Order: sequence, then structure tokens, then C-alpha cells
Amino acid sequence: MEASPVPETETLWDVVIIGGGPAGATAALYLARANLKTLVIDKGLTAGALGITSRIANYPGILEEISGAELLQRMRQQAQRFNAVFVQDKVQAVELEGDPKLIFANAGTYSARAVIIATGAMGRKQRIKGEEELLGHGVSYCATCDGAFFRDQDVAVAGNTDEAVEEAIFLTRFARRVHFFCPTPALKAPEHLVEELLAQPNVSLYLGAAVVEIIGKEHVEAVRVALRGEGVITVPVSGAFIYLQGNVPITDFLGGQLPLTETGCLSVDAEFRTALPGVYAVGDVLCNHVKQAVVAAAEGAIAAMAVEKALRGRKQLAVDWSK
Amino acid sequence: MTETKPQPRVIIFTTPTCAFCNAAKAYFRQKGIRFTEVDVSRDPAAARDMVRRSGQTGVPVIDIGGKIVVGFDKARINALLGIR
Repeated sequence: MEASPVPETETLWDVVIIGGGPAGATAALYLARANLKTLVIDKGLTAGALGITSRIANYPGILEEISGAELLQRMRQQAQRFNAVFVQDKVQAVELEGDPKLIFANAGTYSARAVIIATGAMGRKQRIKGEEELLGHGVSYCATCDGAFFRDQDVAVAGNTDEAVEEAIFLTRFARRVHFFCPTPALKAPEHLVEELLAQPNVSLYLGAAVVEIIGKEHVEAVRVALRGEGVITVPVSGAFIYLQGNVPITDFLGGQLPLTETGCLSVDAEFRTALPGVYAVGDVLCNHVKQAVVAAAEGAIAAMAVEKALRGRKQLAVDWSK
Repeated sequence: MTETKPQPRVIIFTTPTCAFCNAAKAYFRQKGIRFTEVDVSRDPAAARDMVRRSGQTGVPVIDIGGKIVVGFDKARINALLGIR
């Protein structure tokens, strides 16, 4: 046991952007270029709608057909060129009313003068049968948080993104065997990550495998998995780590601090301000009618200018800070 | 001057990579609550003890004067500590 540590001396960021898709990355580019200390927290390159798109042919200025991940990587590199910082982490909770605002992620706590929410709309609405009942009793959404409880036990991971793969790799350090159930015919993660996963001696990868039920009385005992074309199997595990995606706005980490529309979206004004001062939202989390990378990017740019205006006490938006 | 009751003993079971643990700790600091932290990732015996006491395989688990709070449940923490 150790005594409670003194509060960490944390960096105060001018702006923390939650989500590094086209909206978040573009906001970072504009903010960093305005010399604001900017941090982007993102789950992974292929965790969002652009990152999993295989080909992009209609992004203005990009003549060659490239993958969504490649386009996103370019946007991030451009922001990094102006000293924006990107960190791979998952935000679980926030405290948005105070000043500074606090952002609680798995790897650390970040504080900021302003926050831009750019988390997209790939959250889940449907839960797996048994998932809610067994949450905290073997069901987890965070291997890096809870992996230590599954030392020398068998666990299941459900997902297909780089986030899921990285969490599974983390689990191989504790678990006896990691059963990785990928709902699609292939993983949607970068090649080097997939290779690292498959190099672990205690991983079993199942492709086209949808976890349909988590079974257990007081604790997870098994998962039932539908294998494409091969029926349903039952695999005994004592932990189930879920990283599946859906199509609803990702707002669960807000803990009710911002009002949601009937369809679960955030609402903003013309400068992308939410109901809370210093908190902005952009991109698909707003349930935009047109879900396109170019639209999300444009919103990121406008929000960045609005943030800069507010933080520097300007009366009007400044478009080009180099002048 | 108002009389204040002594603060119950607060133990928080954490891992270093647990956002809600950090949120809970930040809340305790903000409210001036003294607490002891047990990092279950570095102490397998404490991890087993926590699972036995709470039935939970997730952190944070918070022990406030012998009563177990699962997760960063602000309302229950406030009630047990008599704070708002």
C-alpha cells in the first residue's frame, strides 16, 4: 500500500481534442498553426469512419485513390508539423464544467482550457445478450484497466479495429489464452499490429466470428459465438473484452454533462459551441446530414477558429494567423 | 464553528491505466478527502482480495469505512462521506 500521492503536475493544454478523425485532425492543424498548445486523444487510426474506409476518391486535392487511413495519416502529419500532439488513448470520463477542464483517459488525466469533441458516430447501441448483466463481473471495455484480474485465465476479445488488436496484445501478457473474435472476414488494423498479434503464442484468432451471448451466473463463464457458415460454438472464458462498433454518436464518456438530441447527438451553434462554455463539438457526433470527410474537416477548421477567438479574446474569427 | 465528524477511512483499488480511478482520485483531492491507494496491477494478492470483497473484476473499487463502492459512483461516495 502507498499513501495518496500529491496531485500530478500536469501539462495544461490550451485545447484537448477528443477524436482524431478528419474533424479533430483538421481542428488540430488550425489550432497548432495558431500556436495554441494542442493535444489530440484518439483510440486508433482505424477506429473511426474515415480510418476504415478502403478507398477515397472524392477528397478535394487528392488525385490518387488512397485509403481513408492514409488520408487521415496525412492530415495528422500536417497537424504534427505545426506541433500538435497526438496520443493514442481512450477517453472514459470528463469534467467539463470547471476551469481547467479535465479529461480522464486510460493512460492519464489531461487538463485543458478548451475541449473539442470529435468522437464521431461509430458507437454501439445494441449490446450483446448478457453483456450488461455481467459488466464488472468479467465483461470489460478496457484490457489495460482490468487485464490484471485475468492472470492465467482464458479471455475473449471481440472487435476488429487497431484498438481491439492492441488491447488483445496487452492481454496476452496476463491471460493463459486470448480468443480473438473478429466479426468481419478480416481485421481492420495495420499490418504490423496484426503480425504482432498473430506472433503471440497464446492467441487464437477467429475471423467472421460474432459473439452472440455472454454466459455466466455471477461471473463470465463462456461466450457463444456465431461462426460464418459453421454454426454457433461455445468457448469457456472468464473474461470478455468488447471493442465492437456501431453507428450511434459516441457520447457515453460525457456522463450526461451535455444535452443530447432525441437521436443522441450533440447540438452546437454556428461556431460549434455546445451548451457549456469552452466546449465545442464537430463532425459526425453532431449527426450531420452529410457524413463526408470534407464536411467534418471543414467543421474542424471553423471550430478551431472559434476556439482561438475565445481563448485569445478576439471579437472576430481570424482566418490566417501567419499574417 | 460547525462540528465535523472524522472522515471514514477511504481505500481506493486502482490500476495505473484506469480513467475512472483517476477521476475518483481527482474528485477526492478536490473535496479534500484523504485516501489510500492500492495498485492491484502490482499486487496480485490485493487484486484477489478486492475480487473476493467486491465480486468485481474491474477498478475502481472504493472502500469507504468498510462499505464497498463499485466504480466512480459520485452519488454513493457523497452519501457515504457526507459531502456534496
